[in-house]
Amino acid sequence: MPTIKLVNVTRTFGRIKAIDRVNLEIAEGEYVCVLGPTGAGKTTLLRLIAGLAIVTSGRIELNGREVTNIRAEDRNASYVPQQYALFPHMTIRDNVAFGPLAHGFTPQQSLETADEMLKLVRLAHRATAFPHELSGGMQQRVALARGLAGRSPLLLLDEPLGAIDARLRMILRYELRKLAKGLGVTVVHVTHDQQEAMSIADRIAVLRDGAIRQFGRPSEIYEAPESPFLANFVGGANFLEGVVVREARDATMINIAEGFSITSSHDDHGMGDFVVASFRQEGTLILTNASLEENVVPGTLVSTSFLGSFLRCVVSLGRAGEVVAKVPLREALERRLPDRTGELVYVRADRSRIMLFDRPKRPLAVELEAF
Amino acid sequence: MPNVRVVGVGKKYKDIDALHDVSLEIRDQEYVSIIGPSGCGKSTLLKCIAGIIRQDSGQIFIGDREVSALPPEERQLGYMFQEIALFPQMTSWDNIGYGPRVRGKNRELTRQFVGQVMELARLKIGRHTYPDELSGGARQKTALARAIAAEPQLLLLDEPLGALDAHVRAVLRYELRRLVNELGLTAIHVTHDQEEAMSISDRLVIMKAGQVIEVGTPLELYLSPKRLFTANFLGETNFIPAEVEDCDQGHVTAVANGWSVDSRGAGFAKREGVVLTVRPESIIVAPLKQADRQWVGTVREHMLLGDCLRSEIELDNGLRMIAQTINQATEIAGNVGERVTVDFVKDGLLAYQIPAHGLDVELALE
Amino acid sequence: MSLSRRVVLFLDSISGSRSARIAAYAIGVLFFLVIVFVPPVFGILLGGSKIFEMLSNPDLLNRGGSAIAASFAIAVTVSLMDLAAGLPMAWFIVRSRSGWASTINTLANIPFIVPTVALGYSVLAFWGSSQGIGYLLGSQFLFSPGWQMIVLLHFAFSYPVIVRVMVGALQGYKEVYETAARTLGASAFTAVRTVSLPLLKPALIAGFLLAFARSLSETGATVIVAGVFENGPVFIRNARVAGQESPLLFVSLVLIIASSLFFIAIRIFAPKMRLPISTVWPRLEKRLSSTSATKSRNLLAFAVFILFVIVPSLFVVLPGAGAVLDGTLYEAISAKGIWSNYWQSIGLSYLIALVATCLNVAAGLPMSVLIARRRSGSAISGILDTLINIPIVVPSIALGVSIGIFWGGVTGVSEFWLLVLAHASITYTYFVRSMIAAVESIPVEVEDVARTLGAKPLMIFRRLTIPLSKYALVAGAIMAFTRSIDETGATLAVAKKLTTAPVLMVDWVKGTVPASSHAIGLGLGILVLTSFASLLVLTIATRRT
Repeated sequence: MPTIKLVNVTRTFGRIKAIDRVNLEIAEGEYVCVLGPTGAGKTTLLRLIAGLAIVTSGRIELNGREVTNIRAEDRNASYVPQQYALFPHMTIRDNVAFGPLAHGFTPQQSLETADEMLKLVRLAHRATAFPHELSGGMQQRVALARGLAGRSPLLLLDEPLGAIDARLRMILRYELRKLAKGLGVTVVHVTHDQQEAMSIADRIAVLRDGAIRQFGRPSEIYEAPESPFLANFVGGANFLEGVVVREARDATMINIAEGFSITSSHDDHGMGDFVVASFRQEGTLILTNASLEENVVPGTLVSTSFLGSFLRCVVSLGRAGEVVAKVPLREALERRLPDRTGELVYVRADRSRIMLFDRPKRPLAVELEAF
Repeated sequence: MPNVRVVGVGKKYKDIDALHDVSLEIRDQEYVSIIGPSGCGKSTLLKCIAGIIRQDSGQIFIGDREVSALPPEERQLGYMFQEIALFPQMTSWDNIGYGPRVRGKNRELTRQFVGQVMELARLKIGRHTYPDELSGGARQKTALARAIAAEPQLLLLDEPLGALDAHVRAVLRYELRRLVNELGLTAIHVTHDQEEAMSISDRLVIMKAGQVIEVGTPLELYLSPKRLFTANFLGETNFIPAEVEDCDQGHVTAVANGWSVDSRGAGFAKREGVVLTVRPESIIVAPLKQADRQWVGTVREHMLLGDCLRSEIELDNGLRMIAQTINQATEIAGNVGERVTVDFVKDGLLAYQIPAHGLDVELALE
Repeated sequence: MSLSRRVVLFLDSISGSRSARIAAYAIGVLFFLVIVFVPPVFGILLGGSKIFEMLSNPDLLNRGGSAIAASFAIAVTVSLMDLAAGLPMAWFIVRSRSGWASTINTLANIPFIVPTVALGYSVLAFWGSSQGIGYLLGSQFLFSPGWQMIVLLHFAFSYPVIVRVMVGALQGYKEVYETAARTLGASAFTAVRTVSLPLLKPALIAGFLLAFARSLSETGATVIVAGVFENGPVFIRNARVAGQESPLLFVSLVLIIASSLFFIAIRIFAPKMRLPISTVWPRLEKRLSSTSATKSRNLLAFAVFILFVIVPSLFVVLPGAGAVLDGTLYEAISAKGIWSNYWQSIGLSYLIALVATCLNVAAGLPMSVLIARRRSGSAISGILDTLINIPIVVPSIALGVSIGIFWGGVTGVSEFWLLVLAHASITYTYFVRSMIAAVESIPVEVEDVARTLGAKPLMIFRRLTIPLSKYALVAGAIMAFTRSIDETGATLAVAKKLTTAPVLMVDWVKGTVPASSHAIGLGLGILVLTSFASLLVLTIATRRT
């Protein structure tokens, strides 16, 4: 029995469909990230599950029980908003004890549970502090402890790491997952940061314009995105538009521009189809010498920028556009790539790593949501 | 376009040192990022340079002028605020045209000028659109255009991309750098996002608790940071406590939990305790074939992060390490429970003295 | 489990039911309509045809018409003058880094502390007698009772209203917009004029409306300084004293309609008014931003503040001091002669204020939550939000007349309860507006989280809403309380037998009850002290916010 089940859930505001026929099933103990750009409807979706907003149509079941018309205080789904909303006039101990108290436990029992939770998030030594006395990271932990103290089996997190510094985020997200898994709670974690979702989710639901575009394990979405938008949003990719000129088993040849064709091992498109060929930036290799291998294209190295473990190289392919290659740092330094801007280079991608999509109805730039 | 010199600047709030004896030099047309954890003083420093805050001690020079006594409107700079702060009661066009207008340009000339600036910034907005009708990215660009339209000699950016989605930030930052390049401006960019800073800056200034920790190019600071804090702040690093066996001409042999390893480093005595650092991407993980060797362990966690694979490895000698491999090759060791060997890229390790105040305090990010 | 805890849990669980919540809000709305809104606004219509008898008397009509016009003219003029004088003061208080700022902030509240009746007498004494301005500058500066003195009086008591509103607005104003303008090259003056003032427009309008309402409404003090001149409230008071019913009713009706319409019109149109911000004079404005220009501006504002607001307000201290010295104090304490009535009236004033405030707090709480959280949808909440302001816009004496007629027909409503209802109606808004602002400032997410943690509505109210708005609750209650003590107009309209303290003071000053000037000074002085005590509690209670 799934812990959360959404059946054709829709929420409209006037003529705007904030949530459009969402179907979702989340298993017990699963850590699911709802990923999408701002305005996709992620917060609305979370609030619908929590019962803080009412569906316009559709059904919501929690633990097998239909809760569509049940108020938030009776759904037992803990909600942690983006700004944490800690009760400023209570110590963090009282904040965390609030849930059990609301469920009818005695003040004594509630405080005991609170102490337990604070120990779990390593804040027991600050139990008598007030929220404003703590740093952002600590406040976040208090918000989590409070959400978990009510022993709710379901935790709904709205951009839990949004207010945290970039570097600290990288560390805290693993702690978040560990905490949830340790307690066996089911988590729905909303974010716009695909790196975050990829790092900690069991499964990711990508939301765009109120609808779920793909729902699957991170590796599934990364290796087999179902649309150019998904390929671009989750992980970033290079895109070249063209026409299929030859098709064979495990080899589809796409003509991009005059004298410039590439071959992909995907073979679900036919002759004459307009397609978008897409390949990941780390799957794009830079060669300094010409080669007779397939899928080698000449270009000019426009710029390089430093991303820590990678060097990000932008190569211009003339009228076909620009592609980005991520080259491991040591290799890039050994090959002196940063000094070679303006020079002629070659770009290559293995046929197995070139994905093909139908050409979208809207112009590609719009489809990829280049704001 | 001028250089900027900050000399011994200090600022106290109640009893806390927001800035302590901060000195910096930024060259003409350089793009410098000041980075550090929240509360390190980077925004305070930027506001002192802008004249929004008055420093308690020290001097600030823009070009040859000592500007400490000048109010912001006389320092000829452009400032992008963390809160964006577009004037809500004016249209976007009027926002951008505000700088020229308050300095006396007439309406017609201003309109033309605003059009030019918008073209340069690749911004397309209607004449009667108000800020609250724009998307996040468009608002950011408008704020940038407004700062540029004031024809500044120095551009100061306070978390300019902070309010944006991650994927928008990752694209707009290059736009930012392009624009600054095209206009030949000197720029100082404050951010907590180290990846953002590394990707577009000529040099980085690392700050912590009101002080400048280290200054250098992104490459220098990433590969050979002088401080352990820098190593931890600019991306993930593994920290290995070890004891020096031999130290000679920039080369150190050390023993970590009983196993031997080579590292860069100089000036250490035999049997001195050190901390070795190695980046996750400098660790080579391979399936265990030869049974009898050091640096062997078991994979405890293994994740595809998209462009790379991240493994948590528990070594047989008790150490835990994070390794990262680019998602290129098709065969990578990494199933959970698999036995693997761990090797290090040449010159991948760097040795440091154990910090006097303790490793945890040195590495603390908040 | 203890009994009290069981009761609380039971009440909590009831509050979960929709009907229980609807009942609670309904009580709030009903109280508002039946007690606060309908009687003052519509009661007057029950006066029937008597209202229009006055139309057949052209002299009376003329007099009445001029009185009404005078009220509006004075109110608009005074409010604009107060804006011009109060804004630089508020700016200084919030933005200056000098140590004087908080002292001046406290001083600016003085006219609030002084009940308007005392203020009226004080102004009369300062501007009109040889011991006041005459003593300082010579007798050619003396004013006699009339419209000029009314203007001086109204300017003084509406000044703190503007300063309070603008200080609050400036404290909440995000200075980053002004800073952004300056980094773009605008001088301080230009930045304030073209960026900050337009953004502060809602506060400017709110301040203007509050000052306007106060000027239009005030009766007791105006009567003291008016002499033979008549504005609306003075006219109504004279009609009552002379026992003329029709002018009383007619002018009250016109005032009610005119003030309500004016208020609604400003609410709708003023936000659309655009301040002139597109022209810039860089060099002039740079000079206006200089330190010397700022210093002179502050000095001028301060001079106006001292001469036209502080000194006239505190002048009542002099006769009061005289009373202490010549034995009048002893008479007062032993309740001899006129003083026995005095203490009775003080007791009555406080009792009425207490009962009215308690009623308002109890019934105002659900109303505040209803409006602040838009529980009935934003359209209805918006309408209610506008309606609750009407009782303070309508002149209180007209309000009193209307209420008197409304409840007059209902048997069993004694004069005491009539006064309580009138005072409740007038002070309701002070409490409710304070509560609404406080509840609105609690982020909705706080309640959302509490709900998902399992808390029922009453538990949220008890453990979150009330503690987080505690200070606003106390502040609002005390504001309502002091406003009731101060109230003269409605009491004049309604009471036939009972006398509250301020009304008694008016009688003493006007000579209806003979009293020496020292006695008047002392009587007013004691009133000031009791008022000061309540406001001291307010300052202490709100300081911790």
